[in-house]
Amino acid sequence: MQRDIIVNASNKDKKSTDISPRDKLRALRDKYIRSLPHTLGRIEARWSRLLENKTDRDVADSLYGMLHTLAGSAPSFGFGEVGRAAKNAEILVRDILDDNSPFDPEVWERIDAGLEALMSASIASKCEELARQRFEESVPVAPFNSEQKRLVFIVEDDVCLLQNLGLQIGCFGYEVRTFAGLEELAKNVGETPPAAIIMDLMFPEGRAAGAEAIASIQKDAMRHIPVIFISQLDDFSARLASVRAGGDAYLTKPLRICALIEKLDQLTGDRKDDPYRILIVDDDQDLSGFYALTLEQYGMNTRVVNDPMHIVEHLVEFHPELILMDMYMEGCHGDELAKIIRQMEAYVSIPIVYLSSETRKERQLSALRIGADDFLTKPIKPEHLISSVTIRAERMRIIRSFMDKDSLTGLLNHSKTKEQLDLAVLRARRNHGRFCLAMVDIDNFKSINDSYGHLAGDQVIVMLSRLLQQRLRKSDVIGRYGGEEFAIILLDTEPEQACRVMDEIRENFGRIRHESDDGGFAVTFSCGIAHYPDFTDSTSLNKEADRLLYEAKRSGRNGVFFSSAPEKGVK
Amino acid sequence: MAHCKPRLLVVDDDPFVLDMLVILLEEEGYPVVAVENGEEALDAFGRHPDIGLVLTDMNMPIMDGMKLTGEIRQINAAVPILLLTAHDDQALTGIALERGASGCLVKDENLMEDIAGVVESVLAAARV
Repeated sequence: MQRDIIVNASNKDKKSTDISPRDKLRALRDKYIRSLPHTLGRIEARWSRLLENKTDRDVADSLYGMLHTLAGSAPSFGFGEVGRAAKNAEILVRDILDDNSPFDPEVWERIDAGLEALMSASIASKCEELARQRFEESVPVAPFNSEQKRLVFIVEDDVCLLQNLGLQIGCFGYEVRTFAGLEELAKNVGETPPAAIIMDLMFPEGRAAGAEAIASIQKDAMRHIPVIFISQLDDFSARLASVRAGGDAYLTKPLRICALIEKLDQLTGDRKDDPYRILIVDDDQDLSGFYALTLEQYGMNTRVVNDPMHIVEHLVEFHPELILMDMYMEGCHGDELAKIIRQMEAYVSIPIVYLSSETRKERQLSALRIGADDFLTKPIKPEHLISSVTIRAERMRIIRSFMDKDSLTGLLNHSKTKEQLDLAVLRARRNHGRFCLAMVDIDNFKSINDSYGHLAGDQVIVMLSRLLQQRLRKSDVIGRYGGEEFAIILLDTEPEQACRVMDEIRENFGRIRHESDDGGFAVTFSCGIAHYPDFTDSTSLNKEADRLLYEAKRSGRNGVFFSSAPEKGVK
Repeated sequence: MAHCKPRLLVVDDDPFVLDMLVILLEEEGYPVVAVENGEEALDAFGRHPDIGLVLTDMNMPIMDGMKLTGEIRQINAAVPILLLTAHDDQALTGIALERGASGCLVKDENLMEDIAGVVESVLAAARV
């Protein structure tokens, strides 16, 4: 008799032809994962029945059968650890069945340990699986330039500066409208309210005419429009006028375009810091609820776990930045739990704060030794809780950013970028996906440093990093690979497409005027793009991108090179 | 060459593994008959004279893979039989080969990737 496929049976309204084999397999695998707890529950139930009556061969037989099935199916679905643990337990049960003298307490203990190992292997696998799904789901690849450009008004009576500003800000992905006078602005601002206004302070109408114009615009506007005042004046009364008119920033001329863009990004973007994610583990529901409420009122994101046995799933799903944990819980002691958490590589350094009525110093000390960061004694004052959690979560975030990010640009550092490249390769291999690795190197950077100073050189690097962040998608990985070298991973992208995008950035970058004490100057970059699966590992991708970058440099710099289809695979 | 792929008989008592095998092999273009134990397999083998390969789990209720191998060999000497085992057990593999199995494949993490290739190569070997 031929059977229905489980996956189709559960999707009866969907025609099987609509589902690709890969999706079918994924659905089957998900279903298998969901069935695991049930299977393990049945194994445990059999085991306790067998313990009650050790001579019951039927129960031993069925336990053996279940373990055997699991030993075969788990590895087939990619859970090798679970399979091995099941196999070990199976062999032990087999021994009892074969031996027919099932009364050696040592054998029973070994089976018990074996089953326990099986349970923890299952938890660990589930955790890995969740992490994998998280990873795969966390990278939605948007089309380039899909985000709507933010509209910026620039109002400046110096027409030359106005044009220059318009051009430069346009390079950073803003849609710019320029106004040479206040009247023109007043007519247009009502129609399409901009995301921000860059406003000169002084106009022929008066010393602070810009501020007055803004004040009346803000009064009529539905919501506050962010405003950056620009001015030659650097005195107190000018600054006061700008603040009173509702200005958000005040920059003095000559303008550093870099600072202007940074302010603009800040004011128009939603780059607010994410709230801290705090995991609360306490088997007392009322108390944990109270902690959660307290922290949430303070703007944090919390998740409560009342059953410590489920902490692993929550760790992976919620990805907390700090764990607040009760010392004494049923089923699992706080310091045991801390040990488990610390044994998972990703959580070696997560701050753990204990909550406890434990006042004995030695007990507190032993908890701290295992890796708790602080010990709060119940009853805990809300303000004490908030400050303890905030300080530690904040410090953790800073440490994290030091570890992963380049200090000048805020982009990923070399080692983190390489890690991301390895991940991209793994993912593409699994999904039969594609991506591009672009290597970017600023042209003649040494001579910029020599002619205009290191500060100017740094500014160029920051500028390029901002431009890359502006023009590329959130899903793309941007790293500072070396001094003036950047590595970019463009997910799910064809080389032709990557080349188009990088070339556009190259053109925009070349248009930017960099300012220094020794005058303004322009800078270009060269770029080489390698494509997965034309090159299938990080090393060869790197090598190929470098080779093309070098070729771009050799043929006159200021260009983007990629291996086009006809010469694919040519070394 | 492969415009007409032979029908496969796939036998496993674990519905998850059985479905996985069916999905993978159907994707390769094989018509597949899937059943859950040796007895059903023997019955299906009788009803489908065009079966070109039998892929069976070793450990199953009612009739296991070893017994099934013996039974099929009594009525058909040529059809390739591929046994799936949970463990890499040399002794068991030896007995299976003696009884006429064409090969044994361990159910490990590589099963999903390997299965289509193994089936194809066993079929190719049988054609020679």
